Amino acid sequence: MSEPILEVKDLTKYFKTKSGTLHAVDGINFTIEKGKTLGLVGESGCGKSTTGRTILRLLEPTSGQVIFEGKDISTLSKHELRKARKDMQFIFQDPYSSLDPRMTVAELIAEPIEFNKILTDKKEIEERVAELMYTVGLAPRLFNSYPHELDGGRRQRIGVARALATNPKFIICDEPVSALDVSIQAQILNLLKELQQKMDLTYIFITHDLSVVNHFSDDIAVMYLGQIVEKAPSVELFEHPMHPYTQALLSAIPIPDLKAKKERILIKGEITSPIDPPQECRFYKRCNYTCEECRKNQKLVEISPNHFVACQRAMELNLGNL
Amino acid sequence: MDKVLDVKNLAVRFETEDGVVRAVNGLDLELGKGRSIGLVGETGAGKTTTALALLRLVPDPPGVVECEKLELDGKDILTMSAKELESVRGNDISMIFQDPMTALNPVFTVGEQIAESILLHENVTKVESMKRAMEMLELVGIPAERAYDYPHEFSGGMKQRVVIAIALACHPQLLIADEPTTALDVTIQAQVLDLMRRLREQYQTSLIMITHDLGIVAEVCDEVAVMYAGNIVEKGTLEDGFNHTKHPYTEGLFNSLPNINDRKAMLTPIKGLMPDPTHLPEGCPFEPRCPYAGEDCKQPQSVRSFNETHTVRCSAYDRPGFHIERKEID
Repeated sequence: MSEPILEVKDLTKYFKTKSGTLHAVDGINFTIEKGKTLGLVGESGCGKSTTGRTILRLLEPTSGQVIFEGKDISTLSKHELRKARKDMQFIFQDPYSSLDPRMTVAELIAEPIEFNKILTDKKEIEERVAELMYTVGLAPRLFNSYPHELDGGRRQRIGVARALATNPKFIICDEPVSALDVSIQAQILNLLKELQQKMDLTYIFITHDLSVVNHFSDDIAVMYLGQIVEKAPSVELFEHPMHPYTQALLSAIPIPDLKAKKERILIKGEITSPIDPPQECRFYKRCNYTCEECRKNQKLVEISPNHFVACQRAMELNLGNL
Repeated sequence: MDKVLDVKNLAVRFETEDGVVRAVNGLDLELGKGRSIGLVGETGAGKTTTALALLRLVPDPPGVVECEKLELDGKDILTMSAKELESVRGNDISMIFQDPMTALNPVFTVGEQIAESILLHENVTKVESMKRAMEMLELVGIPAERAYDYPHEFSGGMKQRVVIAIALACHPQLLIADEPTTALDVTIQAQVLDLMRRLREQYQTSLIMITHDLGIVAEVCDEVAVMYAGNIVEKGTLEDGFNHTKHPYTEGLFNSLPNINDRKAMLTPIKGLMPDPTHLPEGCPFEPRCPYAGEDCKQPQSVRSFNETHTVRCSAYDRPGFHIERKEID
C-alpha cells in the first residue's frame, strides 16, 4: 500500500439556518492513496459538493481534520493555505458560469499562474499558457477567444487547464462532465484520465452519475444525507452493494442494453431533511428493511477487506451476495 | 396499425439576422396507437424543435414550419386555426417539459393548475374540475389534500409528478415528454419513469420520449429514433436500434457511453462537433466526424430500409460489403 496523500478525519460542516442546524457533512472519514481516484456519489443534497469544498477550505469546516501530505489543512493560516492550495485544485461543474466572460482563453489560463506568482516573466507565462493549452487539447488559434465563442467541451478544457496551471498533485473534480453531451463527456473523461497517468494526479471525483464514476474511480464512497453509507473498491461496490441505499441507487441506473432488463428496487419517498436529523440511521424513513436496531446511529464497519458499510443489518440481509 | 401521429417531410427553420438556422430538415415520423418512441440525440440535434412543431408552438417569426403532412389521429394540425389548436393542445396531445421548476405557475395552487386544463377542455363545473384534479394527484402518488399547496412547497420530483398530472388530466392520445427526468436524481427518476409507464398502460397513451439517455429509451420505449443535425439518421424497434445498430452516429453514441459491465480504460468519443445549423453540409451532416466517410457521403443522403421497421440514412451501405464495427447482438 502506498502513502496516503489525503486523509479526512471526522469532517463535519454544519450550517446554521432559521429552522435549525443543517448537517451538510456529518463526520466523514476516508483516505486516498497517491495517484488514485476516489469517486464520491450521491443524490442532490447529500453533501458531496460541500465535502469537496470543505476539504479545500473553500468552506471552513465545523470540526474535523484534513491532512494533506502530512499537513493539517484545517489549521493553516491564510498565507500558508494559499501556498498549500497550489497543490490542491478544483474543477467546477458548470463551464458556462465558472469562467469570467470578459477574459480571453489565454488570460483565463494565465490567471492562476500570475496569482500564485509561479512565473513572473511575461514571455514565460505566455509559453506556459501555450503548453497548457496543448496539454488539454485546445488549438493555439483559440488563444485570444472569449468563453462565449466556445462550446461546453472546450470551456471545460479551459477549466482543466486552469486547474493544472499550478502543477497540482491533487484535484477535486465536482461534476466536471454533467453539463456536457455524451460524445463530449467522453472526450473530457479521457483527457482527465490521460493527465492522471501522465502527471500522477490524485482525484476526488464528485458526481451523481454512477456509470461515469464506475468507469473513472478506483474506490467509490456513497453518500447519503451528509454521511458515507458505503465505501469499497469500484468493482466490489458494483458487484456486491451491501447497503440498502447503494443497492437501490445502482438498480435505478437506466442501462442502454436490452439484455440488461433487471429487477428495479424502488425506494419510497424522497431524501429527508438534513436539518437537525434524528439520531437514527439516516436512511431509516425510506429503507425497505428497517428494524428497531435501525433507530440508532450507524457506524461504518469493515465487512470484508476495504469494504465498509454503515448498516448493522448488512451481513444479515446480505443484499449484495457477498 | 392505427396511426396516432403521421408526419411527412417536416422542416423547421429560424430566419435570424445572422442567417437561416436549419433546425429540422425533412423529418418523417409515424407512431401507432399506444406505442412509444424515444427521440435521442445531443444538444442541438433538433429534438425539442421537432416536438414544438408537432404542437405548432414554434415561435413565428423567426420560426418557419413547412411540412407535407402533419396529422394527429387523422386530423390535420397544419391547417388548424388558433382556436382549433387550443382544443387539441392539452386534450389530444400534451407535453411535459424538462424543468418542473419553471413549468408550474408559482402563484396558483397545484390543484388549480391541474383543474385549469380540465375546465378548459371538458364541460364540467369548477367544483367538479377540482375534484378531478385531486383524483389526478392521487393517481400520480400525491395525497389529494396537497391540491391546495403551492409549487414551492413541493420537491423537484413531486413537481414533475404534478406536471405529469396536468399533462394527463384530459387523457390525451399523444404525450410528448421532453427530457422529463433530466433535472431529477436517479432514484426519483426511477419513480417518475415507473409512474409514466403505469399511467400509459392504463390510458393507452402514445408517447414521444425526448432524451439524450439511451438507457431511458431502453427502459421506456418500444421504438427508437436517433436524431442528428435536424434529421432522423436511424429509426427502428429497440431490437433494431440497440442490437442491430447500422448508422455510424448511433455507433458513436454507444461507444461514448461508460459501460457498467465493461470497465475499459478509455472511452471512444466522437471526434469534432455537430455542424453549425446555419451552414449545414450539402451531403451527410455527420460526414466530417464519421470514421467511415467517403466521397459518396458528400451527396444528399437517402433513407434505406433493412427490414419493415428499421430505416437508416447512410449511403455508405451502397458500398459492397459495408458494415460498421459495432457487433450485432442476437
